[in-house]
Amino acid sequence: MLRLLGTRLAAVIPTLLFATFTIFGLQHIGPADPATLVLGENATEERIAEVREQLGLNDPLVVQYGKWVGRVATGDLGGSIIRTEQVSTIIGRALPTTAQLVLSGVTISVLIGIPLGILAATRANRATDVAVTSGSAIGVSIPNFWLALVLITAVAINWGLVPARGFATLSDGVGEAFRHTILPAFVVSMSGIAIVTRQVRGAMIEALNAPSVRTHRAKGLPWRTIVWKHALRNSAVTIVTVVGLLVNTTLGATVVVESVFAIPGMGSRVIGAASARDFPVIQGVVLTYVLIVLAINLIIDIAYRIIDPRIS
Amino acid sequence: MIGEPLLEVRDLSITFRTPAGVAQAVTGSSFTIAPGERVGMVGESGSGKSLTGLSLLGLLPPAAEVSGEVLLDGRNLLATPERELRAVRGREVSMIFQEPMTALDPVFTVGQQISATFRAHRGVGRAEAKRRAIDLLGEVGIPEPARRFREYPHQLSGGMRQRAMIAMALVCEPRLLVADEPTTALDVTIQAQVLELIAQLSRDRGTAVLLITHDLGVVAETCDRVLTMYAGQIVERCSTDDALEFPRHPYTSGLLAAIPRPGVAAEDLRSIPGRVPSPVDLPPGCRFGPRCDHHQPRCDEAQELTEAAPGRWVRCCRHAELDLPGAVEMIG
Ligand SMILES: Nc1ncnc2c1ncn2[C@@H]1O[C@H](COP(=O)(O)OP(=O)(O)OP(=O)(O)O)[C@@H](O)[C@H]1O
Ligand code: SF4
Ligand SMILES: [Mg+2]
Repeated sequence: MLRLLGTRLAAVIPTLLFATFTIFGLQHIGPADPATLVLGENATEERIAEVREQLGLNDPLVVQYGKWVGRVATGDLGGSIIRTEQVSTIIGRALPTTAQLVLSGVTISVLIGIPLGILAATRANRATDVAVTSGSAIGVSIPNFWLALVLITAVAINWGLVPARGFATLSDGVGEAFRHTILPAFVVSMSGIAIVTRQVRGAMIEALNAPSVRTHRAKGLPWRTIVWKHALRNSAVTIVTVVGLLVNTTLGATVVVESVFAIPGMGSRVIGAASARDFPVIQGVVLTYVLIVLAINLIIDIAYRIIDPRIS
Repeated sequence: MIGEPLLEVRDLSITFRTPAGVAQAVTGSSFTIAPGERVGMVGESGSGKSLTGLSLLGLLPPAAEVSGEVLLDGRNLLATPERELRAVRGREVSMIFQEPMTALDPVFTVGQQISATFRAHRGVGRAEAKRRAIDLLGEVGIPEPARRFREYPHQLSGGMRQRAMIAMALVCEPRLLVADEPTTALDVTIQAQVLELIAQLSRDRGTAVLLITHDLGVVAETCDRVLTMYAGQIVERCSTDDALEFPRHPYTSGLLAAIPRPGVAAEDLRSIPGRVPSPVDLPPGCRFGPRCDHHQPRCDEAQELTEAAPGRWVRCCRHAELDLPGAVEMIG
């Protein structure tokens, strides 16, 4: 297992190099000088020279990249250009918020999607299945910002059940965290519910049609044991893959949803930084996203081997 | 046959509605199996053997429309609710299948799968079920049963997998074992070993067996009686010796000519010319008629299974006048 982890980690290195290259290149894409981009056309010469120095723009590109990677590798993401804060401090504050939102969203997707998928699979092509399948088709196609606005208007403003804006993490108390998380988490889980339902349905239909199911029936096992133990276990590889990918897509969904709910997470930070051309923050957040996605993929890969005895 | 039969199948018919019409997969099948008796069921692909076997566990596909009776100790399994059938399956009647790799669950260990059957029916604890499973793995000739218990199906060879399937089927000491082509997927040398194992376990434990195969040679070595199936009908039902020595139905005789045997090269084996009719488009008269060398105009009437001699039933109007070659003449 350790050796496996080693080889997998080694395989991540090229991806990581490519990612850092792209992220570093962000500020050099486009015709304008990064310092001018940051300060605007009317900035004074001295101010521009100052920012050029601060961003290290006077060195050759390779040197700049090398220095940047060297700093980033030690956890130093630089300082924000707009705020007088370290990027790592900003991310350190925003990450738990986004993580709470993503994990809640994924949990809702899984808790609703898996039973719905199983229900649809055991009633394949009958009324329940058709209802679930078309419901999930609608689920994926609802735009998140629209759903967010509708829910804010109805649940938060009209009924006053939960706050319409802002956020609270677990450190602010469980009740408070729950009231702030439930609505945005439901919004980011929406397409996830649909995706999980559809994938679980497909995997379960396949598992329930496997010849081994006939053997289990011939042994006299109850149908619910066959469905919930054997078929579900045979679908585990699909489920783990879907849930892993779901973490990634849900992370993407938080960008818009955090803005609509005014949640101070990574998504709001990156949008704010993008409009202010605060490159160190953009780079820091994007790099964090990349690391999360790579970590998830690594976990999926290792989980496969634990789940499926045939992969060794 | 002496005494009450363990199993009695009466006038079993199985049909499917398909886009091409009604498929008559099994038509008017009747036979019995006595306790401890080994009965072979032979026939070409599509003759309805597997469906007949599945019906003995009440395991027909949901789309199947079925009539007739499958009586186990006088109780009709076709009219037994699913809940009660579960207590029959794996405990009274077990089944093993052709392809042990796919028939076993790939993500559970062999031991878990055997124990699960025992626990489901006997309600015993994990430890006791494990002990029982390891004993049985040993009895079916698997070396190092305690180690094999922990292994997954893909870690076993084909022959070992089928032995594990047999252990799983016999763990609750059922009275009837349905073996659907249990050796077809195995190497020839392994085939003989597995057949011998089934026969020996059946003798030692008094387990009745319905052995389904397309190879009459397999039946010859293992079974007391044989049912020959053609296009969903039993065309001959008699003792194995009778079938081998003096087959009364031209189809049985044709199958005998196709048995691989020493001294006859594979290409010299006479396979029956022509194809099995489609179950949606069966000939109105003798279903074997279009392929039969002995066909006459009166064969175009529906053929009944009639008693040609005590214990010998044949579905052929010409059975008394034909002198068909058996296995003995062919070897001689
Ligand atoms: N679910 C189904 N729907 C429609 N027809 C079916 C279905 N299951 C079986 N049949 C038909 O019933 C007939 C008998 O099938 P069965 O599996 O019993 O044959 P078999 O004698 O076991 O053949 P083989 O040697 O290929 O296993 C076949 O013609 C098959 O096409
Ligand atoms: S009834 Fe006629 S066609 Fe059918 S098997 Fe007998 S001889 Fe052949
Ligand atoms: Mg079959």
